[in-house]
Amino acid sequence: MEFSKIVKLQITIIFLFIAELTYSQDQSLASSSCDYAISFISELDPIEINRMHSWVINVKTKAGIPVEGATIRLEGGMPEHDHGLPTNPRMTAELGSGNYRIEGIRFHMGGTWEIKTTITIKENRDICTIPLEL
Amino acid sequence: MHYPSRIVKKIALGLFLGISLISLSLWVYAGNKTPNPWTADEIRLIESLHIENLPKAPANPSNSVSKNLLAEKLGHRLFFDPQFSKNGQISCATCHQPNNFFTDKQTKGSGIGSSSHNTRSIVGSAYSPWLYSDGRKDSLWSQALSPLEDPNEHGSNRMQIARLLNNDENYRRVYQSLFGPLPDISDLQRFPKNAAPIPGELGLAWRAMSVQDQKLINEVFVNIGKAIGAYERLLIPGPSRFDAYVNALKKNDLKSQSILLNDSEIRGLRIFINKGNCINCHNGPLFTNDEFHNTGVISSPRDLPDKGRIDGIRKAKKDIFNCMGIYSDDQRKECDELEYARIDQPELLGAIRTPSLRNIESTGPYMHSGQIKTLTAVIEHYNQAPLSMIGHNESEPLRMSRFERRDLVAFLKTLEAPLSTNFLWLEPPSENQ
Repeated sequence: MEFSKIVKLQITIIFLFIAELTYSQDQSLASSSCDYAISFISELDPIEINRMHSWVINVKTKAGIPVEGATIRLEGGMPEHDHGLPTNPRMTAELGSGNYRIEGIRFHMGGTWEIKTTITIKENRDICTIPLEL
Repeated sequence: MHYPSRIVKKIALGLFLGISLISLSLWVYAGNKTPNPWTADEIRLIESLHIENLPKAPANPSNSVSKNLLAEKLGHRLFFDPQFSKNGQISCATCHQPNNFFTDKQTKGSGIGSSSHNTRSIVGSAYSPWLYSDGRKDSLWSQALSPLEDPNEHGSNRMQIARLLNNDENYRRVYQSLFGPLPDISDLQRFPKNAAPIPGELGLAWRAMSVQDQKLINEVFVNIGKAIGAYERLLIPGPSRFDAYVNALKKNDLKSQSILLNDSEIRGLRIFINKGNCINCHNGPLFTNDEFHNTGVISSPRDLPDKGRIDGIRKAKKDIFNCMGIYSDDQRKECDELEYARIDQPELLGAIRTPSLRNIESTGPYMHSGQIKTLTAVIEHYNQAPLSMIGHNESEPLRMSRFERRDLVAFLKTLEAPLSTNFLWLEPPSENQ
């Protein structure tokens, strides 16, 4: 019983270590419970609260092929505070190589945000969530 | 049987008193215990509130004279001039009193009649993308136009204003050097004595004018707003005792820290950035995120609940004096705030713009209609987080003890400070200016 607990703990530690390592290798890596690998570059780096700015979101397939011709919608909010983004951001350009410009982003509080990125290609729609700590 | 019973009673009473005394001491001690040193996260939050993070007041692209000294001087004069009112007695400074940090200490502003809202301070308002508690205006210049024609505030009208400028040699000269020639409005057939696009007689007179003539008058009216906006941009808060504490914190100067804030104020600051959740909305160097939140403030007696932002953004979008309109000087019409504003989300119902907390002690009564008179009562309101009359209250009950509430109020009082604006701008202009 004791032994299995130790093994479980070790596995957890190794998992967390790998997760941390992966994260530090790619700062803009977004969470990927969706069918795409998405990342973003913010015009403001680091992101500051109360300042309007834009992002470039990059969408690739899991195999690393850039996704073209998609429509991106960005929503989100703070799960802890039960409210959404203070603005209504919009995709304003497709820049090629799987890059899309989203304008009108502003955060009005520090804390944990969840950005919901809806990626639509023809009939297919997928939602990828980007966690963000400000 | 008799004796032991009395002894037991005495012992019981003694025990009861003893325990009560110890509990009371512990309670008082818990309420006054010396704060622990700050964690790295707390220091980051405290430093984010420092006034030194405030950039220079931004110029407004929709107002081409927003950094023009002549316009600032003209705005200064207009701000204090009661001529621009129905009875010749109301100026902007009637409610926005420099001695009271540009508020009036009243529940609601008092001009020709009683205003519908509490007078907000305009100190630091150049940094805000939205004006009024519902954000129905998107620039200082556009905001300045509303009170001039509000029948309960200045009760003036744009035609009267254009005439006053034409008839005053000093105003005419300054206006023309800034904005070009004033239109010739001597023809009373084309330009009535009083007219404005508001209900009643003034509106009838306005509608009788040609569209071109209306535009000529609107341009004069807008330019007046732009001069007032240029002046208001100069009203900037100064460093408070709290900011001095942050300086000492940055230098790790413990002695100055203990002199600058007492234990109660430090505990209040801790509550402000942690348990009180105050910093969620009151963030940044102006202690505001300039956003809209429903915090369940009950409307004043006889007032309907304020719909707040959900109405404000609709008004801002269709305002002809907004950043995208023909009177805006922003040629590229890059009006991101207006362009990307949320419109119909349910959380905008009853949502009111977060005010700055700088000089909060001196700028009561509080809330958009002055519903709450004291800071202690404001904190009590947030502690309870009552159900909202309209929409959904975002805040949660805080369960702060009486001591914690007292400490939080003590901290808020450390945000008092004279403005960093030159005192000459805070007094009525002298005749030769």
